[in-house]
Amino acid sequence: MPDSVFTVTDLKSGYDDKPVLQGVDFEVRPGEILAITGRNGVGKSTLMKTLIGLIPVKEGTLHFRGEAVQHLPAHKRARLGIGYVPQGRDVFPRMTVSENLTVGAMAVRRPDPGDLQRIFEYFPILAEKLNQKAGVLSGGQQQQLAIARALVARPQLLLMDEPSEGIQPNVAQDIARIMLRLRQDMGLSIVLVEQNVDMICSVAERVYVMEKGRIVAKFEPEGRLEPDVLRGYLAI
Amino acid sequence: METGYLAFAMVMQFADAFAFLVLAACGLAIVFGMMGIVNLAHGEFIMCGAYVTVAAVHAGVPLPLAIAIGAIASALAGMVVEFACIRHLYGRPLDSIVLTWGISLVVTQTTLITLGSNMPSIGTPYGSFAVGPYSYSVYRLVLFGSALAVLAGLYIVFNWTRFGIAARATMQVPHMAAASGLDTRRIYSWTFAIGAGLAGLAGGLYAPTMTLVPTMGTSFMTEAFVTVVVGGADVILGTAPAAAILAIIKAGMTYWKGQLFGQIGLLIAVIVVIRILPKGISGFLTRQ
Repeated sequence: MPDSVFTVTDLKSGYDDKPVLQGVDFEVRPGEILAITGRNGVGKSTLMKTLIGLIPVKEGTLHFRGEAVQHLPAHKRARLGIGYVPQGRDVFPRMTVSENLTVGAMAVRRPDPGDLQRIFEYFPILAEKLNQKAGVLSGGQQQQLAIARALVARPQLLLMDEPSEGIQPNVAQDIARIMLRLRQDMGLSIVLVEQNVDMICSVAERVYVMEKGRIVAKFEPEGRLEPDVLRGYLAI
Repeated sequence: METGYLAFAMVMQFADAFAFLVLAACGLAIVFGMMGIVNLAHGEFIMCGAYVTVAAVHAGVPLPLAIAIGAIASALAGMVVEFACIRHLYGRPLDSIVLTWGISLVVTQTTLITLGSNMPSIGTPYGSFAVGPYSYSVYRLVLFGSALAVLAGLYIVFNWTRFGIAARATMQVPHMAAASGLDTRRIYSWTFAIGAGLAGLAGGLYAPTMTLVPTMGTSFMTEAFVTVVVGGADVILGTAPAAAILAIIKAGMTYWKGQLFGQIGLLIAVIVVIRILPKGISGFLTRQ
C-alpha cells in the first residue's frame, strides 16, 4: 500500500463487557492531516487508545507502513514510529521538562542531539523552562510539552487527541500553525481527534465524523473545508 | 565531659535506629511506590539475604562479599517471584497482598522444614571502640554508613540514570510511559528485583548481629511498614525523612523508658501521621 501510512480495517475494541468501536475503517496518507470529530462519548478517545495500543484490538487490523501492528503492545508501536499526544496531555508531572523529553526520546535507539534543538524552534518556551517540573506549567505549555515529547521520538504518524481542549484560543491557533509546519518540514502524517471546528478547518484536508463507535460521515472536499458546513452537520 | 559522652551515646542510638529503619524499609518503599504493591513477603526476602550471607560466610567467603551474594540472591528470587506470580496481579492491589502474604507463609515454613529452626550465627565482626565509659561495636558505624550509601545510591539511580528516569515516568503516568516506547513490564520486573535485592542487603547486613530463624523477617516488618506509611511513596523524599523522624522518636523513647516504649512511640507516630498526612511525608512534599 504505497499511498497509505496507516490503514485501519474493521476495527473493533472496547472495555471488558462494553464494546465501544463497532468497526472503524480509514486510511491515512503520507503528509496528511486527517481529522476525526463527533460528540462526547462516541468513541474518539477509545479509537486513539486502541490505535496506540493502550486498549487491545478485539477485531480488525491496523497496518502501519505495510506492517500489521494490531498485536503489538504500545511501546513497540511507539518504537516503530507512532507518536501519541493524549487527551489531557498527561505529561509526567513530577519530572522536569528536560526529563519528560528524555523519556520521549527513549523510543529511538540513537537519539540525535540536534533533534531537541529543532523541536525548540517550534516550542521556544520549552527551552526556557527545561528545569521546571512539568506539573507547574500552564495548560498550553503542557500541551506543547506533550507534542514535543512525542516528536523527539521522530514519529512518522502522530495521534493527537483533542489538543485544543482546555487551552486558550490563541494557544490553540499556535498549535494548529505548528501542526502545519510539522507536516511541511517533516512530512508528518497526523490523525487529529478534535471538536474545535476552527482548528479542524485550519489544518485538516479531510474530516470523518464518528457516532456510536462508527464513522458515519466523511468530508473530503476538493478545496478548503468550510467551518459553517461542518458546524451545521455537527449541530444536528 | 559526662554530658558529652551521653550525647554521643544518644547520637549512636539515633544512628542505629535510622540505619535499621532505612535498610528495612527502602526495598518495601520502592516496590510500593513504583508498583503500588504492598509486598508482605518483604521480610522473607530479608531472611533470604541473611541466610545466604551466613551460608556464604560458613563456606569461607569474606563478609562484605557474602553480603553482596545475599543481596544478589534475594534480587534473583525477587525476579522469579515477579515473573511467576506478581506480574499476573498488576492493578489488583488487594489480591497482591494476599498473594505476597501466602508467599511469605510458604517460604517461612519451607525454610523451617528444610533448614531447621535456626542456623549457627557468625558473630559481629570488626571489634569495638570506646568513647568515655561507653563501648560501641564498630559494626554499628558500618550499618549507619551502609544506610547512607543506599540512600545516596538510590538517589543517583533514580535521578541520573536512564533506568531511573524511565522508572519514575512509569510510576507517574504508566500508560504514557508505554506510549513513549518504554517496556513497562520490564521496568516493573527490574524494580521488584531491586526491592527484593535491597531487602536481601538489609538481611545480609544485619545477619551478623542477630539469631537466624525462619521467622526473622517479621522483626523487620513492623519497622519497615511504619517507615513506609509515614514516608509515603517516594524513597528519597519519604523514606529518608520518615526514618530520621522516627529514629529520633524511637531513640528518645528507648533512652527514656526502654525498648518497649521505643516500639510504642513508633506506632503512635504512625497513627498521628496517618491522621494528618494520609499520603505520608512525600505525599505532602509533592502535593500539587
